[in-house]
Amino acid sequence: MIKRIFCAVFGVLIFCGLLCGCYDYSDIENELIVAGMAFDITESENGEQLYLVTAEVVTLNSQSSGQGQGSHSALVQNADKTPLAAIRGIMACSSKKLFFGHCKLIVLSSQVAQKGIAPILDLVFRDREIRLLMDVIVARGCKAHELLSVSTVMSSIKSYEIVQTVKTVGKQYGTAPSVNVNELLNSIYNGSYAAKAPFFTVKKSTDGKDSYFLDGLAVFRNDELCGFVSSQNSSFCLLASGEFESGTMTCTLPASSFPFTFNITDSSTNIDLERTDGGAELTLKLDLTVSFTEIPDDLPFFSEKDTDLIVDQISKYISDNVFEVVKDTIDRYGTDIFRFLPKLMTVYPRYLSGFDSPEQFLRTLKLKVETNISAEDNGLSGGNFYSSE
Amino acid sequence: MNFSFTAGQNMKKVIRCEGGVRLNYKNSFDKLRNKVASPVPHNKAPENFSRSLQENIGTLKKLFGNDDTLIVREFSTPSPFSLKCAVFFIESMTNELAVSEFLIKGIMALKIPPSIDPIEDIYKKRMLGSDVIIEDDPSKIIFALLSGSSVFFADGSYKAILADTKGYDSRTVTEPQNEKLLRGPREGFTEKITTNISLIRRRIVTTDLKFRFFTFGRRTNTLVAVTYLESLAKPEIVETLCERLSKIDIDGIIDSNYIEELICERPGAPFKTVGSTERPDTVASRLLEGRIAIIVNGTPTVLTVPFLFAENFQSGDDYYLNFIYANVGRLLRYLSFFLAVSVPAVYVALLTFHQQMMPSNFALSIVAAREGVPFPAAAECAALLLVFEILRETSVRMPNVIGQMLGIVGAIVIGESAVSAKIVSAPMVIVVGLTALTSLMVPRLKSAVLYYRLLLLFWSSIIGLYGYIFGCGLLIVRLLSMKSFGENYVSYFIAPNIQQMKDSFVRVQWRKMIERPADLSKDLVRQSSVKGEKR
Repeated sequence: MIKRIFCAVFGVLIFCGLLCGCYDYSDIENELIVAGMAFDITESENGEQLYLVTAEVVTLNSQSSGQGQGSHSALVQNADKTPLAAIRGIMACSSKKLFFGHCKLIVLSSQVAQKGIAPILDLVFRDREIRLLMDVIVARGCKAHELLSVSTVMSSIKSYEIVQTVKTVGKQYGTAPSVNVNELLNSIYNGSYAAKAPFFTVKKSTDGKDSYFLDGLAVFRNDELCGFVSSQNSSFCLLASGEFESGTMTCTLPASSFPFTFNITDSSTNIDLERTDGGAELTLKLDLTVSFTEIPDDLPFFSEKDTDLIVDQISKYISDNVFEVVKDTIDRYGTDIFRFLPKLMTVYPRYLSGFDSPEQFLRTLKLKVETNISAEDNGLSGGNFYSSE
Repeated sequence: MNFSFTAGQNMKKVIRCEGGVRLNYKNSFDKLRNKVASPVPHNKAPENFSRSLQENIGTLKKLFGNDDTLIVREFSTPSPFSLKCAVFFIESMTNELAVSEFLIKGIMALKIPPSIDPIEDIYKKRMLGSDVIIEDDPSKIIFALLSGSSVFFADGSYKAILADTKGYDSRTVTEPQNEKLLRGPREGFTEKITTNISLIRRRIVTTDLKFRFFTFGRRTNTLVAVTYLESLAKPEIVETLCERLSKIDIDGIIDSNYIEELICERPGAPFKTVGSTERPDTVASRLLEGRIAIIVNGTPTVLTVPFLFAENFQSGDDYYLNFIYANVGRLLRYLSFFLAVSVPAVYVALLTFHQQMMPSNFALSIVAAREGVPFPAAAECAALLLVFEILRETSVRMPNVIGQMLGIVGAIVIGESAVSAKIVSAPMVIVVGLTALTSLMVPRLKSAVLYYRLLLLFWSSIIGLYGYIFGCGLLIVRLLSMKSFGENYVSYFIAPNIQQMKDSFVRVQWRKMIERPADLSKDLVRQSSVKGEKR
């Protein structure tokens, strides 16, 4: 009996040990926490292309807490032939072991992204420490590691602040959604052969220091960067793909000579697909809830009639722009960042077989946009603001 | 009061009643009386006393030898039928005024004619008072004498009259310090068994309440009362209790914990299977659930059996206060037990194996706080827990003022200086502080909490959260495999119907508790149903 109990306990312990890797015991203070990583391409002395990996590591002292005043970050770099080799080399720069468990951001330079992000994502996907939920962004017009050395307002840990910026801006302004490694991998391999990620630029701030700026969407065909969509147009992209949560838009309506700002508080996008001769007709149906935030002086809105006029003009504005942006993106990049293809594959599984490539199909697609808007919570009142005529 | 007992022979194997054989209390207690360990015979005690008073005086004086507390008062009744008498009592155990006023003065006023047995004559015809008995068994006479009674001998009789003239000091009834309540009775047990019996009797006024007396301890001859409600207590539990009590063969019982350890299932187990309380209302409520209480003379702590896991989390306030408020308190106690056992283990596991599981900001705070601390997290945690136990143990034994001072010193030394000196980290102090606080919420589980806290900490520091889960598995297996006097230790949670689970994690309203909990009693029905129909 004792033998049996001993064997059972021993077996469980061995199993536990193998599962968790008890050999990996390490006190947390003996590890150097990596907050974010940047991938650039550089050249060696003999002209060979190398991956330059920059890690933002958090240096703390006992007075610091979380992202408070006492926490600082430093950049450590290494270049090598592959991303993994470069990361391994970084470890030689530090007395502590690099710990990627709290790495929240991957910055890819345009050059790296154009070359293909599969090697980077593969590395992240395989590493047991790294979270698949870390955000991916692209640096445009600057090196990736420059984004990790700009001045920040709230936190001294740049990576965390950039991640927070993407989340806040994506939700509040509808410019660009936060995209993590998992989502990026899924969108590349789930049938649309395309992906999108926010891109950042570096600009001078009022105090003369470099500051980051979320400027729009980077567009990928398969795993390669093929272009950018500006922040003005990225909202329409997100509306088309059904990823727009909420945000503000500004336009000049035909009825007014002043810019007009409205807030989209809720949105949903439905896609209708119909096969036609030699192609397919795709109808995007947008249902939006809008509130008017700033009303131009020359635009009356005190009656139901006035409001209906504004709503009609906004609907037309949104429909036209969504149509233009989708058409333009497909024509220029031949990529499906709007996730039309997975929908088509679900409805007509063999339909794509008649085309040489998905790109060819997308270019033949007939597009129609219908926008239905309901205006709520306008002005300062809680409900619709009408007056008796 | 007649403290009757039968000194048994050597222990024999108790034959269990099984199958169709119906158990009854009388058999169980008779067996116990026959099997309870024989007290050490009073040295040199005679088999019988003599009819000669002088011989009896000599025998008792010789028996007590060098003991100066034995007082012998010899006197004679008035003429013409002068009868030589003697009263024996133990100084400081007896109310000497009662002896002289009631016993000596009363008997000296009697004119007793010659008879075959003058003691019988005095007892039957002339002795007033209810606390007086006649006895001829030398061991009982000596036991009564040692217990504070006065022993009256007369020339010409081998018998003695035992008068209950006990006069030693005892503590008054006060509220127990360790079991204070917001609302409810303020009475607590004392060291005197008769007082304790009266405290229970006053709460359950029924002939169904039975008290059976035994003595344990070959040298201390400690009086023990077993009490139960005859129509509720399960005969199987009574049988088990009697069987275990019958195996007690020890020279002394000073506190009820002696009996508690001697009758529990697994003395080495950290979980208690015998309940203890100083509150008579708690004992009364336990008796009403079919349990059995054991009252030990000389200690205010009364034992109750069976004792189940859920009882560790119950308090008198749960039943005397509004059930919503009471249930919040009870749920907090369950949560506290979980936290007291788990927090150090989980914290160490996260710090040493699963750093990525922590929120990033939390991880950064921890790293910042641990920067420069020389010890590994597990060692730091174990050391702080040890320091806390030292502080707790020290402050328990100290007077209140010094105890408070120790608390301040501990807080300053550990909370401030040790953190400033980078010997320990601030989060670890918080973890140990939280652990200490939560463990104080379930005082009945203090040994279990201590044991499993260290066990889980040990496993967690070796294999991380897998070790923690493994330790929790051991804890659950242990709980599920335990029994208290034949009843499943977790009966409250696995009762056959929902009625019997209504006093487990939460206590439902009284009107909905139709049955007694956990299938512990013969008669499960506690009250008529909500609709008013009698059950």
